[in-house]
Parts: sequence; structure tokens; C-alpha cells
Amino acid sequence: MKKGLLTIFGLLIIMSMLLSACAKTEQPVGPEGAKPFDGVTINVMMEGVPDTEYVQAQLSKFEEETGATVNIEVLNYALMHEKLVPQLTAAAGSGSYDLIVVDNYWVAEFNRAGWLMPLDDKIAASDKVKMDAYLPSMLEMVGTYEGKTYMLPFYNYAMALVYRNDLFTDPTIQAEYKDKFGKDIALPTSIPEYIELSKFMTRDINGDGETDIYGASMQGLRPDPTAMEFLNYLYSMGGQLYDLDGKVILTQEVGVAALDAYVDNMKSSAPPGAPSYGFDEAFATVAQGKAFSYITYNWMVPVLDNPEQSQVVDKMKVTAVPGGIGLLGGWGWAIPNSSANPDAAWAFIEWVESFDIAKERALLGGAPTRADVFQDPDVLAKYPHYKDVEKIVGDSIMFPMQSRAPQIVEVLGRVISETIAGSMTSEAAIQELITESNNLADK
Amino acid sequence: MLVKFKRNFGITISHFLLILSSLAILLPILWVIRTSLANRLIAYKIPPVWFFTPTFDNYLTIFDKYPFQQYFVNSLVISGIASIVALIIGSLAAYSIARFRTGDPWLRLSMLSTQMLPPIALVIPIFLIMRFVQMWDTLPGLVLAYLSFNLPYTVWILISFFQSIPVEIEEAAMIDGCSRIQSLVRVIFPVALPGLLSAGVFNFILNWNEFLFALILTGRNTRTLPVAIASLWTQQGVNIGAVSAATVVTILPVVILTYVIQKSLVRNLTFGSVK
Amino acid sequence: MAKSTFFNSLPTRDRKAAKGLVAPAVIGIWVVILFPLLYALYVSVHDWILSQGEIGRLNFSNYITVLQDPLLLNAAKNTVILTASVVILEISIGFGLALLLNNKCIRLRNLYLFILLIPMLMPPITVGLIWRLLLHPDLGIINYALSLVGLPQPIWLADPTLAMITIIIVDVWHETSFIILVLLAGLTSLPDELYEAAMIDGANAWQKFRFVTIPLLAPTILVATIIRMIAALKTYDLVYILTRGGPGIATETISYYIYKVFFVFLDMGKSSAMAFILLGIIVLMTLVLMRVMRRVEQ
Repeated sequence: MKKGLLTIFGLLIIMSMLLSACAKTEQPVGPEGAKPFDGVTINVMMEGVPDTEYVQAQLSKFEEETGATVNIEVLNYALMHEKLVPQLTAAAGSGSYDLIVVDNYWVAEFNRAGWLMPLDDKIAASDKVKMDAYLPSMLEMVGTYEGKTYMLPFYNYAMALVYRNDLFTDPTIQAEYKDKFGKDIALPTSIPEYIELSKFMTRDINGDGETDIYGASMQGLRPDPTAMEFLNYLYSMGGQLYDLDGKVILTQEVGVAALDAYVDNMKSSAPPGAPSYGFDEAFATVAQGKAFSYITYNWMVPVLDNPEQSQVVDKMKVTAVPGGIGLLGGWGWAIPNSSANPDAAWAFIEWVESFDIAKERALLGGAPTRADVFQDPDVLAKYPHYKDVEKIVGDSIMFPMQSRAPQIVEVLGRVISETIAGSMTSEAAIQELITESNNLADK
Repeated sequence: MLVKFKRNFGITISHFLLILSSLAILLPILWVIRTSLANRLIAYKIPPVWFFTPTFDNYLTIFDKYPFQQYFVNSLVISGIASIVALIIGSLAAYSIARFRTGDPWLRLSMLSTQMLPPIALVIPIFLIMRFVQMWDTLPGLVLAYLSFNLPYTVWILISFFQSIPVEIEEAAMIDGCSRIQSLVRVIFPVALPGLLSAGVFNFILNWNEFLFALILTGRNTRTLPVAIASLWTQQGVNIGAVSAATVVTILPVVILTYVIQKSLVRNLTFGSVK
Repeated sequence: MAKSTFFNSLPTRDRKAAKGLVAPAVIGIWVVILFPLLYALYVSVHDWILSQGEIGRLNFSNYITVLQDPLLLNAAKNTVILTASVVILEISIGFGLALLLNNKCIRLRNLYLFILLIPMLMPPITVGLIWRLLLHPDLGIINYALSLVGLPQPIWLADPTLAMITIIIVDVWHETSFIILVLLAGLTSLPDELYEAAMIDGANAWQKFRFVTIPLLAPTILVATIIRMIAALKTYDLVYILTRGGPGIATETISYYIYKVFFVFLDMGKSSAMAFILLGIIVLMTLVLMRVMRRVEQ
């Protein structure tokens, strides 16, 4: 047995060594003069998104300038909330994260719990941070809460309509459209028009009797994929969950109309598996050229233009959600009250949100939040569609600023999914949504 | 003649069933290996492309952009230590319960009942303790937390193994003049070796796959594979190629584990059970 | 199993020593778990939403409130269906395969074993993500393969009934390895002498199986069943990744529901109360199972 154990042990060691051999050797931090944050480590919790990668790419500049070491821990979206919450409850100065990024629908929850540090004094004392550079819609969403500033907007994820321009401009399809509807094909300006166009575009191109282009790729997975998608329909049809004072203003009539429209599109123009699709399945459907359109983040076009990921390179265009009002999303930088190094964290925010760094990030592909970055000639030269995106970000409406937003999303996702599955009527679904929204509202 | 036919027939059926179930396991795994060598376009292409130039980008992603080699070592060390400790402590307890019915049945029930509470209810208090004793984001902290579910299972599995060893074997050894410790070490443990190893393997696997504690109790220093894999799931979608590559890395220890198991099974055959 | 008179005749000193052997394990378990357990119990009778401030007032009605929640009852129903299906399927398939692998005349059995054990080392999160890839209705390899042989292409996770079946299939794929491992180890540790004795007595294969294997292996089968059952009753990760409880509420399990109330709603009080209710259900089911198995054994 001894020999056996030894062999096993040996195998284990060899395996570990092989794997650590590929490890990068970390660069030692040299002792250089007096920098403001020599020897300070800033621990940052971020989400795994392209913008985080751009920040990681820029990081060395900050470390050289200040002497600080920045440790970025990257996690996926759902897990971030789970991991952050216990950490945020830690006593002041004793938390494990000095700096975090906050999704817009956690803003009210985190602030109501008193977990984030107000930044107003720091902003007033700073000569680097300019709050008026930000788009007002971004600042309202991931900047201020009840009159105080807790965050600086990091990037936006406003939703928009991404569609196949090659199909849209195809002369045969255009002619067919004119024959059928007696008018020229045009981009939809309302949800009913969009649904009509989706149905028209759902077709069998190669004539094998099976649909191979779906009018709309959709994501019916509970809770956020479907809830976020549906809100674009609701907002564009004139509905809203809450008014600015946090009172429920959704009416049965508008809600049912939007939900019926959503379910109609799901059933008639989306792939049959769409009720279970999350972002990945829906994205893959578009990327494989099997869908005409998809309501998704405005910055997905560059991803769909990447030949490593997509078969529809240079065929996609982005426009506002039909009806003009989509869902706005975004992330902000915040310092938790439990932060052990708030000053160093603030220095990092000042640096990362400075015009030059924000512009550099935008050029790398980041999603801007500042008007001056959106309008910068270099940025516009590289991404001409940012002119439209700036308008989309400006016009979109965020998820209601409610401290129990995650729970509201959960309810919304469930009633939509139940309506699609047929275990609930759209009337009952909206009824329950209104009741629950009232119960969960901040009072 | 008939007997031989019957036996061959039985063996053929056995092979058929084993091949069928092996394929059910193997085909998805092969597809994962293929996906780990493809980009996102090829991964989702239907009809599938059978021949494409493999790309090692996904492995580069996990080893270069994220330190998966570090996560692998973390997982290996934490899972290994926690299972060895659990095996040592647990086997003593299990032997005692199996042979002397120590605290029967309440002791073993209460042990197991700690496992019946969903871990979600325990994770926040355990997090608080770990912070308090400054063991958050340390290897010993996670090992200790893992013992909380490892130990009860180990004891449970081993009780039944010790029970299924006929008492007569031990009696015979003691009548032959062995002390009880001797009979335990020389007679019982060798016979129970497959059980011990499978309990060890089971522990290792529980630890290896554990997610919730690992998520809440680890930081940058001690992140384990499951948490690391989860972070490949981004707002821009699941990096399915990288997930596949990471999965291939995750199942590597199966080589060692099967080696351990087979070694013990073979040994069991060569030496016979008693004597 | 009959109590051995031999061990009962041991001197008390030895019996005390035997108790000492249990101590490290008991201490180990309770040290790590006692405080969290009491803490959770304390929280379960209080109003406490983590994001709304400190722990609130004493409220025993948490238990009643959650039991009246129709969503929890639906989740309980789904959990029972899921658990019963996966435990029965996994034990039968796992036992069958373990018996086949225990036959020394089977060639390549090490290779089979190697393959069959692979899924054990895959965390549920990878299993879920990978099966989502395989099961994509339009772009997944499984539906493509089905279309090649002319079979219908199901929409797997998008249909309320089929979604539960899909989760069961994935769980069986993932967890049967564990049963194979435990039962195979149990089978190999059975003393050959008993089989030899049975052969001398002229027993046929079925009789050997029925009167030697089953009784001797019964404790191992019981343990494997209980461990799988407990784990299955606590299933949340597969549901989280595959369906999030959808379509509608067709695949929501108790554990996933608790997880949501805890981490999404941050309602510590109610989620802890639900956790203890689930604990009660599991204890009850374990006791029932043990009684049933004991009867079978006799």
C-alpha cells in the first residue's frame, strides 16, 4: 500500500508542478521614491465584462503613478450580489473590498442599507472629477440617491434593437413586403409595428419546410433576462412601474397590452425554445444568422462583428428600441463603508474616471457614460454609431429606484414566464405584478 | 455447452450495457473537449463543423488571463487535506459506532441531521465566524468549513462498511491472540480498505465540487475551481470555450482517482479478504 | 444485524475506549456547526431583511407565513417529484452497473469504470452550463443528432413538463457515478468465503444475489440512498443554471426557492424558517426510509 500511496502522491505533485509551471511570475513592486500610496493594496470587486478587462489593461499606469497595488477580483453578475452582501455588512474599515462596482438595480438596496460611502465631500474637494460631464440619465441612475452622490457612473448598458441590415435592405424581401402591406419597408417606430415586421421576417429561406430565420431572437428565461426584455415593450408602449416618487402607476390596460404583445412576439416570431433562452442561447441564435432582430445591449454590435464569434459580421445595425424608449442600465463605482482604504480607493476612482482614461477605455470598446467622451472626435471616428447610442442612453428609462428591486424583478420574471407557459393569463399576471409592486414599494 | 453459451451471452449483454452507459457519459465529455478547442462561432454551429483548426485560445484564456493553475492547486490542496482529516477522524468514530453501537441511534442521526439543513442557512454565520477568527480567505478556514459536511458523511459511509464486515473475522483474529488494536489495524482496515478509499474519494469529490462555501469564504487567495468557472459567465454571455477548457482541467484528477480505486480493488482481489 | 455477544462481553474499560474514538468526530462536527445552527434558528424566529437594517423583532409567525406561501407548496411538490425520480433511477442504474463491473470476467472493466466516474468531478455549475450548450433546441448537438435519425426535436427546457424531465436526466447523468462508486466498493469488500459457502450449498446465481449480496449490501445501499436523497432534496444549483425555476414555476425546488428568498430578497428570517422546515421534511423522510429499509433487511 505504501508504494501505491507514494505513486499517488507523486502524481499529485507532478500535476501541481506542471500546472504551476504555466503560472506567470508576478512582478515585484520596486521600491521607488515617495509615491502617495506606496505599499497600499486596493482590493476591488468587479464583474466579468469587457469594460472590466479594459480597466485591467489600463491598470499599470495607475500603479506606476501612485505606487499602489490594485487587486481586481472578477466575478460573474449573479454571484457578485451574493458575495458582496455579507462583505458589505462588515463594520466600517474592516471589509475585504475597498472599492466595488454597483449595478443600477442594487443602488437603492445598498444605499437604504447604508452600505455605501457618500462621495459629495470628496467630489467637492477634488479638482479632477467633473460631475457635469456625465449624461444626466446616467448620473440619476448610478450616481445619486436621495440627493446625495454615492457613485460615479462607470459604463452604460442601455438596450437597443439590433437587426440584420442585409435582410432589411434585400430587394426581394423589400418587394415582397411592399406586395403584402402596400407600403415601403421601414424600421418599426412602435412595438406593434415591430411585431408585424418580426412576423414578416420569420421565414424559410432555403425551402426545406423549416423556419431558418426567426423574426426576433428572444430570452424568456426567468427572472432578469425576460423581465429586462419585457420592460422595453412596456416602456415603449407608454407604461411604467413606478413614478419618480415611488408610487405604482402601472395600469392594467397598458400592462396587459405590453405583455400580450411580448407573448405574441415570443410565440409567433421567436425560436420555439425561446421561453428557456438566457442571453447565451438568444445571442448564439443571432450570431449563427438565424434571427432577424434582437433587443439587447447597445454594445453588442462590435461583438457580432467579430468573426471568431459570429457568422453575421458587418450585417448588423443598431437602432433605438421601437417606440424609442428602451431600458437603461449601467454600473457605477462606489466605496463601501466597510472599505479599509477609502482614500486610495477614491484616488483610483479619480484616475479611472478622468477624461483621458475614460476616453482611452471608450476607444478600446468601452461603453461611455460621459457626454464629452461620446462626442470626442476620435471616439466618433472609430464608432460612428455612438451618436445614436448617446441619444438612446439619454432617452432610455432605468429600472425603478427601489430598494427591493431584485425582488420586483423576480416577481416580474415569474409572472411573464407563467404567462408564456400558459399557467396564468396576462390579466392575472399584471394584476399580481401591480399588487406585488405595491407591497414591495419603499414607503 | 449450454452453460458456456449462457455465460458468453451474459458477458455480451454486460458489455453491451456497459458500452451503452459509457457512451452516454463519454459523448458529452468528448463534445466538451471539442468545444474547448473551438471558438464561439464553431461551438454553436449547426450542422456541426467536424474538421476545424483547433485553437488553444481557450486554454490561454484560463491559464494566462485567469490563473487557473493557481485555482487548480487551491482546489487540490483544500479538497485533499479536508478529506484526509475527515477520513482519519471519521473512520475511528465509524468503527466505534459500528462495533459498539456508541450512542445508537441518536449519535449517528444527529450527525447526519446537521447535513439536512440547506447550507444556505449556515453560510452567513460561518462567514461571520471566519471573519471573527481571521480565517476568511485562508486555506485552513475553508478546510475547517468543509469538515462540517465531510465528517458526517464519512462517518455514515464507513459505519455501513464496518458493519458489512462480519464480526467473526475480528473474533477469529482476537482468538488467535491479536489485541483489539492489532485486529483493527491488521484485519479490519485491510478488509475495509475499499470502503475507506471510496469514502475518501467521495469526500474529495464533495470538496472538489463544493460551491456555496467556496464562494462566500474565499477571496483572491483561495478561490477554487467551481467559483473560478462561474466567473467565466459574464454579462456578455458564458465564455463556453473557456468553460469547456476549465472543465477539462477540472476532471483531470479522475485519472488519479480511478487509479486509487482500481489499485484498491485489485489489491483486494490479490490478497483475498482475510487470512 | 444481530448484536454480537462477543463484543458485549468485552470489559467496560474497552467499551469506554470505544466511546473515546467517537469524540474527535463529534467535537469536530459540533464546533463548526453548533454556532451557525443556533444562529440560524435564532434568525428564523425574527423579522429581518438584511438590506433594511438590523435584526428586527421576535416573530414566531415566520413559520406559519411561509407555510401559507403557495409558491413554497408548489416548490415542495416539485422537490418531491425530482427527488423520488432521481433517487430511484440513480440507485437502480448505479446498482446495476456496479454489479456488472464487479464481475471479474468482464474485460476492460477498468476502462469502463474510468469513464463512468468522470462526471463525479464536474461541479454542478459546469454540468449545467455544458448541458445548456448540448440541449440548445436549434443549435445544440443533441437535437441535431435527433434530426439526423428523423426523431422529433424537443424544446427541452422551454416546455413545463419536459423541463422537469430534462433536469432529472441531467441529474442522473451527473450523480449516478457516486452510486456506482459506493456500491462497487461495497460489493468488493464482501468476503469471498460467503459466496464459496453458498456455492457449496448449491445456490444458483439468483439465490446468491438474493441471499448473500442483498442482505450484506443492504446497509451500504441504505447509506447511498440516504445520502443521495438528502442531496437531491437540497438541489438548487442545477435548477439555477438550467431553468431558474421556469418555465413558469414548473421546476422551482424548495432549495432554489430558499436560496432566492435568502440571496435575492435578503429575507433572512423567512429563508431560515423555510430552511428549518426543509430540515424537518428531510429528517422525516430519512426516518421513514430507514424504517422501510430495516424491514426489507429482515
